[in-house]
Amino acid sequence: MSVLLEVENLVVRYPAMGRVRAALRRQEREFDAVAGVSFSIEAGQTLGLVGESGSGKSTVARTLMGLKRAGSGSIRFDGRDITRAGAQDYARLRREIAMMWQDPVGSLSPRLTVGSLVTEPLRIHGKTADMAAEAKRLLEMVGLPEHFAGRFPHQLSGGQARRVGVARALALDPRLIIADEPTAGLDMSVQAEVLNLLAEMQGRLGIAILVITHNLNVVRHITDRTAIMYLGRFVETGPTEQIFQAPRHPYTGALLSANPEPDPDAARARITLTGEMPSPRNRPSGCEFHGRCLRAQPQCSATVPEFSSAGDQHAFTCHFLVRNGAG
Amino acid sequence: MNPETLLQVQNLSIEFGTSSGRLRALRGIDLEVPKGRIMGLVGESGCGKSTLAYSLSGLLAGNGEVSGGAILFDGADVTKMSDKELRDIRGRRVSMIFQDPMTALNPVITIGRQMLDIQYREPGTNAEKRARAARMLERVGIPDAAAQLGSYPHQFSGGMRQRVCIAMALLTKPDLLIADEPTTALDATLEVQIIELLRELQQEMDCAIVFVSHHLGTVAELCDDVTLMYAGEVVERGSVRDVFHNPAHPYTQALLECDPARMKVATRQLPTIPGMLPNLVDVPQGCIFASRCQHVWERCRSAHPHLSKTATVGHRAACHLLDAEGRT
Repeated sequence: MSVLLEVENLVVRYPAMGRVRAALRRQEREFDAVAGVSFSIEAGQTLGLVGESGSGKSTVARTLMGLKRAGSGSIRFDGRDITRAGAQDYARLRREIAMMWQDPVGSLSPRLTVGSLVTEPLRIHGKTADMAAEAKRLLEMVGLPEHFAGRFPHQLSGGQARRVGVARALALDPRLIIADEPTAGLDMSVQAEVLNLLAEMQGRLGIAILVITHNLNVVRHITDRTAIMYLGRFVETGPTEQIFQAPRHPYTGALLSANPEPDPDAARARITLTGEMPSPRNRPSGCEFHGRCLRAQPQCSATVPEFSSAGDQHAFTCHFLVRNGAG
Repeated sequence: MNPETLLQVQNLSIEFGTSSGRLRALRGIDLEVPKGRIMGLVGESGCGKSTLAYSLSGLLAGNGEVSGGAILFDGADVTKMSDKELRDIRGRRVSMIFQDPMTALNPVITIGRQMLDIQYREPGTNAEKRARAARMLERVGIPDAAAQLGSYPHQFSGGMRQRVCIAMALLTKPDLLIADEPTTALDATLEVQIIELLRELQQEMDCAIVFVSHHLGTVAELCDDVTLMYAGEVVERGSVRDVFHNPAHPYTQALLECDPARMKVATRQLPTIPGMLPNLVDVPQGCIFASRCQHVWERCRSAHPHLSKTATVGHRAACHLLDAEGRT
């Protein structure tokens, strides 16, 4: 299959303070929210980007959508370099890259009906079509009854609003959908509905999807590959099932154990990390995870671990070979 | 009442006045929390679990009204208490931890001041109270606790703020702690820390906890008993082990099925619960779950099921299948 999106060594920086203050304090004015990540998505494939608050996962999405400039590195979409693409280029690109925003209700304009919301992308991109028929087609695709076209966002439940978000993303037949926390704030039964819908669309229309989430359970059933992000870098990437079966990085192990199965008698191999994620303005030395890692050794605070391979495009950055977080 | 029972909710009904009519948010709730036990209150959005949790300490919204039943806390009915009587138990015998630690603390007052204020009924000088506050902060894992008393809430991270809230809630050694989704706003690795902290403190102080959550895995891990709610009713209750191993109500079964953490193999088709919550302004006759239930039969549409016994003592579920006389 052909590579649709290729990101190489992407660095995205945010200013932490004004120029004057930075000069007075002799500190770096900017910090790296995303500190050099590389990944690629093939046509029709799904990639999960998993991390906690502040890991930089949403910044990756914003940069891909052209809402934030890349500091360095490159982004190639369908062979074209779009790293420095301007507003006009992006206007065209957004026909091919669609976005599902995090807040299902908040990302819908409260004064537009569902019908005009789902056909809004068509109008913006100058498509002349029978809008009522298009609205009907899109709503049907995401499993909403036709009469919903007349409703307003506040009349929708979280799951229904999410379906409208999916319909908007599908309106222009994109080749890539970026879904930022597609199930945040949804109940378990509704979450399953949305994940099924995304999996179905992906299978039926062959769209590539980048799923950004903090919940590992979400990526397991709909992604081919997963990347675990910590402090703006990938700590482990590989085929999703392999990461679930044999996580190598201690952080991945801790994330996996943080979603326990609902069984009071299950063997609790909970890995409790101490502390919280450090600030990207003040990165720890060596392995950036060493302060919270249960298996940290003296060398971890001194040497930065390189990516080690665990076979089959499964790679992780740890000085030690970790299996299932045990041993 | 059993002397070991700390909290007993009897046939409680709560209604909210809305523009479209009276919304019957809770209907005929029965539950019991023994001293020193942790009870999980589980259900999806709109099931009334937060309404119930808030009503336990008399914190109903202005348009809410108790339309029947009683909440007996140590024998006294919370629903009949005057404001003064409520203030006497709140913060001293009943404490609460809220979902969002960002908004639960006053942003313009230091942590130390807020922790002093909470002890206004306690004996002792301000210096003693400050020392007590510092000890408690240290106990919940705030480094350099004494110095942090002068800090404002925004100077703490989310996880630390929730620790401060827990310290404040337990400062007066309450008999009952109500925790309303205390880890929902936190990251997964912090959630684990908070759950462990709660369990340790519960064992030290021996208070009862009502733990409101929609996260089944956390409830299975932390709680002794569990009560499942759906659309304003209790559909099942019992010990965590009985309910999670042998769920008796079809809703509980379906909810456990949906949890992606349960599935050992990746699947493209996750189980769901088709259908929607019923309209609680015009509550349907019969079983509240009938419209979404896979095992529905005639009686479910006409008669309302009561909490019936299952094969295990103390495990009850509101389902006609448990009492299926006359069914082929």
